[in-house]
Amino acid sequence: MKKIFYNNIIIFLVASVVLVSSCSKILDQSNLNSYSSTQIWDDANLANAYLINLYSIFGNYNVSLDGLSDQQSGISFAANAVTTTNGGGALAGLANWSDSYTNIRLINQGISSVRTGTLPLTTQNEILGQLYFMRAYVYFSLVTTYGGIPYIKVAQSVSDSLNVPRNSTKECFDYLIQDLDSALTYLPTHILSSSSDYGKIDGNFAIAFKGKVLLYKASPQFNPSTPWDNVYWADAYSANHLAYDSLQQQGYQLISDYSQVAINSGNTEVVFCVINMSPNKTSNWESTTRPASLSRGNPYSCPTWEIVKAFPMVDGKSYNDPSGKFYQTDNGFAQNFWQNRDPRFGKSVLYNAELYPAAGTPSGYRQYTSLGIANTLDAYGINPNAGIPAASNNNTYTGFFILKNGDLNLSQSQVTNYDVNYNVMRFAEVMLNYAEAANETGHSSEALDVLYQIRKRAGIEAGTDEHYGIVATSRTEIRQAIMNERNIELCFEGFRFKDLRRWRMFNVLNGVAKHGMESIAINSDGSQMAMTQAQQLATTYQLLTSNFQYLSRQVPMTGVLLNTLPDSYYFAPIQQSVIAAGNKLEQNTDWGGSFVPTIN
Amino acid sequence: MNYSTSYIFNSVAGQSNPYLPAAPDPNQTNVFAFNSPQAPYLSENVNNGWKYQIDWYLSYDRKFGLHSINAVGVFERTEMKEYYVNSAAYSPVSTIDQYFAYSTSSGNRYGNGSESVAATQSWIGRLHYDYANRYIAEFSFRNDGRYEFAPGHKWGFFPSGSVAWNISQESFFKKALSWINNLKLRASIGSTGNLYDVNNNAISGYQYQTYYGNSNGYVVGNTYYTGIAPSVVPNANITWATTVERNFGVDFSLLNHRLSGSFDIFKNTMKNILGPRTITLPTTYGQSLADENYAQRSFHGWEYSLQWQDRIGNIAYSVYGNMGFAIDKWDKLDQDPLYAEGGAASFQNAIGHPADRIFGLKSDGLIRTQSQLDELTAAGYNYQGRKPYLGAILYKDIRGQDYSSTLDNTIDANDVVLLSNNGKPRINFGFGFNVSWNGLSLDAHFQGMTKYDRMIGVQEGGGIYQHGGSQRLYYPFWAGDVWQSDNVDAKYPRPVGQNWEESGATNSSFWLRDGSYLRLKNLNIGYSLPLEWLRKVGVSSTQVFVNGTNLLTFSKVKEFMDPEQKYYDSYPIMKTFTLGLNVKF
Repeated sequence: MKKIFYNNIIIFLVASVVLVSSCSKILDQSNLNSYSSTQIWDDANLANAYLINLYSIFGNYNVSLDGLSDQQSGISFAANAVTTTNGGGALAGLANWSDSYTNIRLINQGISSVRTGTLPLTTQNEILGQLYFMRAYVYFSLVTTYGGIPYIKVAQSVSDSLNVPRNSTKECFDYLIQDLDSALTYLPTHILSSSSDYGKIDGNFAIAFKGKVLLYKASPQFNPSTPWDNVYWADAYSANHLAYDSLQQQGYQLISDYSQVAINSGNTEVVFCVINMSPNKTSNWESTTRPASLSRGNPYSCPTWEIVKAFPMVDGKSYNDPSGKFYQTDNGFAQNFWQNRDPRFGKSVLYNAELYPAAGTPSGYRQYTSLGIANTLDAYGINPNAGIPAASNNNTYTGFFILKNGDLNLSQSQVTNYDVNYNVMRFAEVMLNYAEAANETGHSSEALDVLYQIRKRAGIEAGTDEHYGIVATSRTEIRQAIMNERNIELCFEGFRFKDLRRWRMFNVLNGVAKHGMESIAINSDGSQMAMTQAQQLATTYQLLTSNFQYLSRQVPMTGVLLNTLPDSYYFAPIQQSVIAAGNKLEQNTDWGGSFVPTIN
Repeated sequence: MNYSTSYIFNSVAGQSNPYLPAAPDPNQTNVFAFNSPQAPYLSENVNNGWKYQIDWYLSYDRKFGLHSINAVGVFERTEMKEYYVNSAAYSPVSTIDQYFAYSTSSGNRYGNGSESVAATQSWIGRLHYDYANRYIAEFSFRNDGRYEFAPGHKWGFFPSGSVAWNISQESFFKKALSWINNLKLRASIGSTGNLYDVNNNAISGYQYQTYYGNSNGYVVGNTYYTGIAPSVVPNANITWATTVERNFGVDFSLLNHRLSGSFDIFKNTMKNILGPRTITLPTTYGQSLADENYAQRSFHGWEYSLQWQDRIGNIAYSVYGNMGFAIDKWDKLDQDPLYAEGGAASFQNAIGHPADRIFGLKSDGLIRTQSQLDELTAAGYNYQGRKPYLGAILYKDIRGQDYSSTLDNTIDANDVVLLSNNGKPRINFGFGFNVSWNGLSLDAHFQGMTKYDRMIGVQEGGGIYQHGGSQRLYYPFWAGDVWQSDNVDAKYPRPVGQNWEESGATNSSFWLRDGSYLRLKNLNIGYSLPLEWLRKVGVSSTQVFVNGTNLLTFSKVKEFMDPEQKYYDSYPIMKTFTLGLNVKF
């Protein structure tokens, strides 16, 4: 008995020693689901993965962006939609403050750590080039949204003095250029589309983006007192001229078919794109633009009658220009809007009863939007004779759908597999940036030459004077022609709202109604066609666009009807809570503070 | 002195296959746009692992005279590892619900897996002293270690002490109050460690390290690369939160133990709760500050239970009831300065208030008549810019822009008010009885809650939406007593096919109901067959019973749903009936 007791004690003691010695160890479990932060800059794969994470700053297709402008339906600015409490509402969506600074921190951390690792010098340089570019890219969005911001260049540690003031807008632009110049010293000049590095930032993107930054710096948004005559236009001209020349020499050019600018991947017009590749990286562009009956959900936002009107006729003149071959009255044009148009119209906008050969549709399929005739998911309008209630999407639909960059090879069930590359910058934009800077610096013939090239590719008739319908001669007229051309050439690509902001032209949006176009089937004598007959004809796609009467309706039909964009919206306020957390940040002058976000 | 040891090893059970609903009609993918893969697929998730627990007990028991001492020491250690595997296969050859029937092309097969580990270690001690079963004192402690925290912060020491006085054992008491069989006064103060953060989520491990996890991927060339990003902002000091519990209680039984019961009051404090310190740092820093152990919350309340049991002839019966009350408040919590004392929205200040409060718009009923509508329209009344319409919910304009007191006739987030402090039931109670007579028995248990307000809501959010995202169609609700031109006295707003605030899709007093309820939770009638009958067939006992649950419910929430149901469109509470036979041989 006693012996057993002693044995137990001995086992207990031995076991205790074993346990106690391993006590401290058992709780030191290693984390099985993480990468250690210390290896990143010694391992080329981890360093690459670090950069890959940051590439998300370039975003992807976003149908909502042009819903902010006059190109698409949507009212993003009800009265007082932007406040210091919400920090800018829809404006802040163009540059999210805290996401931007999260990325900036990672970029700064990368810049300061690359050289501490053991990667080969050439790899380190490539990484630095990309990081410097990214820093400029992120800060550029912030500066154009808020004005000058704290341009932080180091990954701060908690013990640093973190309460930093805003750099002046002018300083920020200087830093942007410095960062782009640093990027240019490290980046490879040209990454060909055949390269396994295609999709990474190259020198050509940096040089073109530098032109864009300087164009913004010279633009009225930052120079309200001297919008077109400030000294920065000269810098904008030389940078954009250099970008245009150097890219052209390397083979960048407009491709022949406007409808292929994104769909034809790796084409000569792409300066920088986000590569989509199903199933790993897809975009919702198709599923947010396509008619709902052939998609998986409703399109978020649709082209307005305003953008439909803005496309020139095929002779390059506006429909209401009496000197044009196709001059029409407003009313005549409304019943005829699809005829004799700039070919870019048919390649960008899907209208009622147009042929729409999406995969899975019967041959000869026409896309109807007329209430009572179209699938209820696609219908727009309130026609009381349709025999069914008003369409349910009258607040976002317009009777038009976006066709640009759509991939018709996708069947209905595949729309979310859309993987066309997203063009962040294409050569047409570089050209238009160049044209704008050229016009403001007295090089009007260079500006006109760009417009001719763009219109030539678009398929507009050259005309006897080979001016493609452009009659502008004065600086102001050419400026207007460039603005119009940007509206059309870059439509639905997310440029319009930022351009209107840059030109201080919110008058185009403020209190201005947007419209859709309801279609109602008619007989040849103009009387309304019996609904049953119209439906019958539509089942075999015998109703053509011309078999309808067109009625313009304000969109949306209910809710807030008009945008309210006072001039204070040219720069978003910094959110109240952001200022509360960093009290050296001054608010913009239009929002009750003392910081001047403009340069002149 | 006694020593024992135990070792338990078990493998963690695999997880069930959750059922995911598919589109009601697969050809209607445009209407039912689920965020699930487009092609038919089969997926299976399996997790398994192992866990062991070693416990060593050393106990010591000694009585000398009227003193008795009991001491226990325990060492406990656990370690576990789990393995997760999930896989999916697409494009079936045939509709057989098995993997073999799915495409074997590598692009159609998907797999993923991960492992996790956990370990804990504790030293526990308890010393119990008892004098003549009259004076009782106890001291105990736990020293708990967890793998989640950094070396130096893994261990938490949590002592506790209690005293009790069994006053009914005192001779003066026995003489004076012999009808009281038992009366015991108790007091205790104790501390325990807990691993929850300010949002009541379990603290995840390794927050003390800088580490990177997978993040956004991106395509370069023809290759999809995985990105990495920092997973958390590290804080080497993260450690246990501590709950201090103070309790005072009485146990009693009297009248020959026919009446017995207990009463307790408590005040608990949760200290050093892990939470984000959002507001103290300029946002330009680029990351939030690491979470810290700083927040504090306290709870107080009381509970009692009473039971009466007796017998009349050969009817035995008992009746019982219990009730508990508890409420909490935040003592320390970082919040947006807007909500703090003196801030513009200080009505949302969390400090000094319970965590579960209900905020929302204040409703003034519906806009029922044209004249009412004209008046509102003329005054410029609007919902974030949207015009009012007949059958819309009318909300009170409480504040103007940025929570200012200048009214703006615009209904928006600035008009939100505190609607109730009781977003969680503060009082819960139960009562019941059982009677038995000659093998026949009847048990009934009632249960309920009160001091409780419910914001009726749907899975998308508070209020009743007119349609649910892309997943649900219109709720049948909107075919009921809703505003129509021929039903202007309707109870609910007009269906307009929009999820606007005014059409019902937001938290507001319009949808706030008293959440109190009382329900017959369980009713059981049983009959045991007489033993004499059973012996003959070699059966030792047989009982036949009928059991029903949730048979009766009383509540104002029943206007929409069962009071225990989470949302209007979530799975309802079941009423069940069981008929049973128990036979023992």
